[in-house]
Amino acid sequence: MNRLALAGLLGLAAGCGREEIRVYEAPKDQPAAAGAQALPDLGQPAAAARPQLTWKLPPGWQERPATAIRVGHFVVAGPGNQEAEVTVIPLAGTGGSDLDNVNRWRAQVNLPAITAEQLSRLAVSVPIGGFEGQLYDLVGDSYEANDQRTLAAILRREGTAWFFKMTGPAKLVGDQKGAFLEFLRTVQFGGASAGTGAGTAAAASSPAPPASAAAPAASGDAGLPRWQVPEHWQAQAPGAMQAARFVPRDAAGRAEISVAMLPGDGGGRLANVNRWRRQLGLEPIREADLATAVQPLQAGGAAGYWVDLPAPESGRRMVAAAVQVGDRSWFYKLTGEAAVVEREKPVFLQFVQTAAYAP
Amino acid sequence: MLLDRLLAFFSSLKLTVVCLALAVVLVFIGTLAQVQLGLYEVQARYFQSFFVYWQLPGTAVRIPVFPGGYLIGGVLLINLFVSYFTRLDRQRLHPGLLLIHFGLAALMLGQLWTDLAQRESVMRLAEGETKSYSESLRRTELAVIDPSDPQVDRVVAIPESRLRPGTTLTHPQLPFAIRVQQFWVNSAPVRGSTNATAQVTQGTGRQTQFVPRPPVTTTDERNVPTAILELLDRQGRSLGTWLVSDWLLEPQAVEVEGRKYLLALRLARYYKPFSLTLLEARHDKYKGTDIPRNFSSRVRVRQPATGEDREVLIYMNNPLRYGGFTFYQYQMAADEAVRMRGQKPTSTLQVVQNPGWLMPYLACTLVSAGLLWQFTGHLFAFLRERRARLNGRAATPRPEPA
Repeated sequence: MNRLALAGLLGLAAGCGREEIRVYEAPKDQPAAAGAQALPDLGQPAAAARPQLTWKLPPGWQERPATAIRVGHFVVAGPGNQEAEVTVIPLAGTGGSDLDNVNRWRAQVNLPAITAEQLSRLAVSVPIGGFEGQLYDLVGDSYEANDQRTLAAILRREGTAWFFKMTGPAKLVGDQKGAFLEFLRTVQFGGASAGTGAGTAAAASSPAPPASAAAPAASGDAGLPRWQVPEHWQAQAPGAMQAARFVPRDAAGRAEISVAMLPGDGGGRLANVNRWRRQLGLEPIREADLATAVQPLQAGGAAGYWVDLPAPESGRRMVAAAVQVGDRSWFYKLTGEAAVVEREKPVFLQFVQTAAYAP
Repeated sequence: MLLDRLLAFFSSLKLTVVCLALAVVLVFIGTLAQVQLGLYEVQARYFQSFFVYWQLPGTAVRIPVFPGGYLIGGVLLINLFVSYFTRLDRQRLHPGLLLIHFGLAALMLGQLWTDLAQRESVMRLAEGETKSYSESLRRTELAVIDPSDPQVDRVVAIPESRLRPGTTLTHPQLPFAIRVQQFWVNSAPVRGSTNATAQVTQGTGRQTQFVPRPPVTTTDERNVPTAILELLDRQGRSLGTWLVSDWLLEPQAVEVEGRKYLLALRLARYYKPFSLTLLEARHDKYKGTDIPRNFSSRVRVRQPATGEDREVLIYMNNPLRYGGFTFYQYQMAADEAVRMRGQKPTSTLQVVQNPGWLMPYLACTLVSAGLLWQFTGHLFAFLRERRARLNGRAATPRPEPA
């Protein structure tokens, strides 16, 4: 009898360690969970839906099958059996700091590590599918034939860090830089699936644009100014920190208009202008030069200023305006290819000037 | 005779001292072992076990070398009861001693209850996101999801511990059996080709190569498992081999008998009958410094069964207690740097379910009441005796000086 009880107890004890299979009904996962993720800086996989991307394949690039990690993978062949590799990797979260990433890539092309301050000077703003990303060009000092060069662009958007990277022999990567920048410009986020179909650009995650004139920019947000949106501008889903975003219909991917709001004066006139200059890869200016750089602006009963910043080296240009209303500042930016910015500039300035701010 | 010896053994004060000394040693070696094994493994091996085992190198033979937490605690509990009842004065009831002993027993049993029944998980929310489930911090599960119902997913969740290579898993809800070909507790994706996952024939897991990695033990890392599964139909014919991994962003699709199923190896989920929406995550700093001033999450609690819908602010030391769960502010990625990078701020809440949370309070109250009774009783007895002695002394005639 006692033995039986002992055997029963042992059986019970053994059974305790066995986890049972659970059966349950669960509400379906929200697809909007893309912003959430597990342990951001450990590079963990996102629990959410797989990010999607479409692009226009530059001539001479060969596509390789995508993987769960690389949503885009290409090979570019050069003379003498040389090959450069292009990868597109989305990582949920930050994907680590830019400094760590850049220093890792620098180590791969035998370059010494740099500091955070040097990093900000190396970063060049580039358009990536209508958004603004940072491009790092990492090339060694020596001119040996087998020297490696890396072009790496980073875009952080809606909780995902996108890494676009071209690595290969310095000469070949240099030749392909134009094609790489063009590739970055043509990518479209939020498409049905990754593929080569040019122009299959699925709409960005936000639906129908309020294209009609005099429509409030975004319905349901009383904090936004009322403005006259030009007929040929198409509203897009605003990025983080942005209040609104538009692209000229015939120049999508080549120029964009963004509106952002910051409390106070947003850091001051000099800081704002130098931030915009940095985004174009331009040297900062001094306080003394500010008076000649900025122009005054009257907008909706409030005073502001605007600047026109051409960047001839990259062929890009920015017209940016700031309007302070009460305890907050509104920032308007028209950024893109110089020719498109030139064309849109009068419409843009009129757009800024006709904005009406809630009292 | 034997009973008397047993009672003498279990009621001895020496046994109490030995058990307490063993407990001190166990805590000491358990703390040292955390360096190699990590917190959770040490908890399981040293404290939530009857014996601490030593594995003979190169074999599967495990030799018990030291009593574990459950054994020491169990013997102490028996010692407590036996010593109370054997030394009990059957003529007089001692309520103080009774309360103290039951209080101590309640403390030990409450701890055991917490140990067995407490469940800790986390709920990670991006601003604007709604979830009705929390996730385990470490345990993963193989979820076989039937998405055919437009309203809900039917899930058969197989715990990680059942995914032993070579086993075949069946379930009445599933029209197929799952043969576990490979299971790596921790894994990593690799570039280039390896032969580690060559047998995978189906699904998007074919396109990525994974290799096993040694399990991590620190509390700020976690294992990301990968499994290779062969599915068999009701006749035992192979349907193909799939790779599932917590690294993969999407579940693997399987079609069996005209019905679609999804396979996902993911952190174990615990669904709740209510949902939480993160409205705002705040990480405030003292002006001009990086010193955190406040971490808080403003959440919306919705309970469809009762129609309840309200906002709650969760911040440090101010958790939300709701539906038997306690939601503590745990992790946060919502400072200015996160917003400047264009990310959505996220907040992680620790979700603790502990049905035995009242036991320590109850035990401490019992022990306090017992001690109070005991000492007050002694005090009154002492005062009575003192008064009697004084009275007696006053009654005896003072001796005359010689």
